[in-house]
Amino acid sequence: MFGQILVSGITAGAVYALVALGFVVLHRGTRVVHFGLGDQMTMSAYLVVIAQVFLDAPFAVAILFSLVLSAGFGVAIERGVMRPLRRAPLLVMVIATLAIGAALREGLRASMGPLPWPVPFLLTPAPFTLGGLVLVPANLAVVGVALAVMLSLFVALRFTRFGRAIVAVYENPTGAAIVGISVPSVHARLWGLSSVLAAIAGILVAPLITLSPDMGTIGIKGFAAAILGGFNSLPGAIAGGILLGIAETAAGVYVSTAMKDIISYALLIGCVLLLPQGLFGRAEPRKV
Amino acid sequence: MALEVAGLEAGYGGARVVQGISFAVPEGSIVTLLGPNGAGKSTTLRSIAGLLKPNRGIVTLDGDRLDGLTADAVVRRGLALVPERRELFPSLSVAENLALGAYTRRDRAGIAADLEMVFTLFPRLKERRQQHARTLSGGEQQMLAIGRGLMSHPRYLLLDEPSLGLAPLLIAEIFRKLTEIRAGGTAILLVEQNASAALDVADHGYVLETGVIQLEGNAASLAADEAVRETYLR
Ligand SMILES: Nc1ncnc2c1ncn2[C@@H]1O[C@H](COP(=O)(O)OP(=O)(O)OP(=O)(O)O)[C@@H](O)[C@H]1O
Ligand SMILES: [Mg+2]
Repeated sequence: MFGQILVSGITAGAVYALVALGFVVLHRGTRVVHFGLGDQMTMSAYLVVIAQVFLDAPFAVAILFSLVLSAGFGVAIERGVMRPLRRAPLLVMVIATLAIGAALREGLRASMGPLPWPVPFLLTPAPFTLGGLVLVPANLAVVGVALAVMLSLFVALRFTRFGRAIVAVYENPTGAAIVGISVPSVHARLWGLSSVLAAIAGILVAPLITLSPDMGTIGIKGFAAAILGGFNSLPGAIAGGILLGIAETAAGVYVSTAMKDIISYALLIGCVLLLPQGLFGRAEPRKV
Repeated sequence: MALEVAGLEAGYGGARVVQGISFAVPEGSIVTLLGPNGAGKSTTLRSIAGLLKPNRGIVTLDGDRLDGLTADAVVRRGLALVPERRELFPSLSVAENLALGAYTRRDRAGIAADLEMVFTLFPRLKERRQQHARTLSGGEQQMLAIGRGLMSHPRYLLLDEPSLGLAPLLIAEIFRKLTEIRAGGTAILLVEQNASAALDVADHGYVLETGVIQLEGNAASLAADEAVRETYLR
């Protein structure tokens, strides 16, 4: 039983972890909490459907189409909304992200209708048993893809010029500027990156739940996971996501399925009250 | 060939802090900008380096206009700032900080040579290569800040109070290094409150007070000047 909870919990957790990374990656560099990120998950999943159903694209091409447009959408938010608002108070930017999310949600409802659309699985949803555990290839694919994405993210931040510039801005924006890094262009990258992470999460999770304009409410779980992880730590976001996925599944099994959704809100509130730095975050280090 | 500043005005919001100053840093020289707290020295450096948009005035680097460029573009033109607050990358290692100093460059061989040069200049940094910048002592952080500035291979280096918070022995050591840096072909604009140390190594000096240049001259004559001695060299 416990093994089964772990397996299901990790599947959900992998998706939450990706969304949490989307929140943290962006927030660490720009201070903005993007409350439209959940709705961007929805948008990206719809983009796959649009490419498949309306443009007759093969699945792989449809995914690529969605990822590219999602990245572009993120960059467009930075250029079109955040950059003009850069002298505005942070609260104004955060409210702008709420507006972007609402616009996406209602735009999708108006154009795609309120009813769910089918999204293909990456692998078959037909379960098989292995060593007493029921495993679902579709779920394993979710975990596998999420792992690969996280690994690539860490490799990119550590070893590429693109990633080093991001890390420098995380560490010290003024320091980054004086070594020759364009901070606004790093912000644009971060918006793109965060959007792609949300897109991958959205495409992965859409077949498991249902794709409707309100699917983005699942973004709140990524937000809770990010808070659990301290909101400024990338490994923390991943751990927070996995932990939340497992806690939620366990609550669903041992308490009641109705508890499943409540648990993330409970953890979110508990964490904010008792552990404002999260489980893994640390206090903002003092500037050198 | 020089860094030339003409009629520079800069400030924050309504406050005019730098009120139309002009000076030059000739190629291969050390020029010092002296002045009391709040005179506008850091503001001057920040506006040259592109961290602050000047309200008026012209800044040229070997003839190229710098004013109006962003900080990253200024670095690419060959000018590096070592700011008053050092602005290091605290949880990155010494080696990573130095590597980011070379962010604008692609010439691997040149970067490796400059890294060796920085390690020769500051052997302490080599010993502490893997240590996080946050855990360095104040003096070591200053060395790292200067080293990081040098890693962009600048023709002009702007130093904002490198002596700040350091023990006298270390100040002497850092200032000796400045003449070595000049010998390597990098001109230095040195902002200091420690006027005697600065005038010791500088070729030329300017005294800034409340945003206006009050005095200028070669370093020896400034060091001998009654007014300067009175105010800064007690
Ligand atoms: N970010 C800022 N916003 C508003 N005013 C500022 C800002 N930075 C500096 N000032 C003001 O500008 C004036 C000049 O500051 P600046 O830092 O250039 O002086 P300084 O000559 O470098 O002094 P110090 O020797 O103490 O470093 C000061 O009156 C300061 O209060
Ligand atoms: Mg200053």
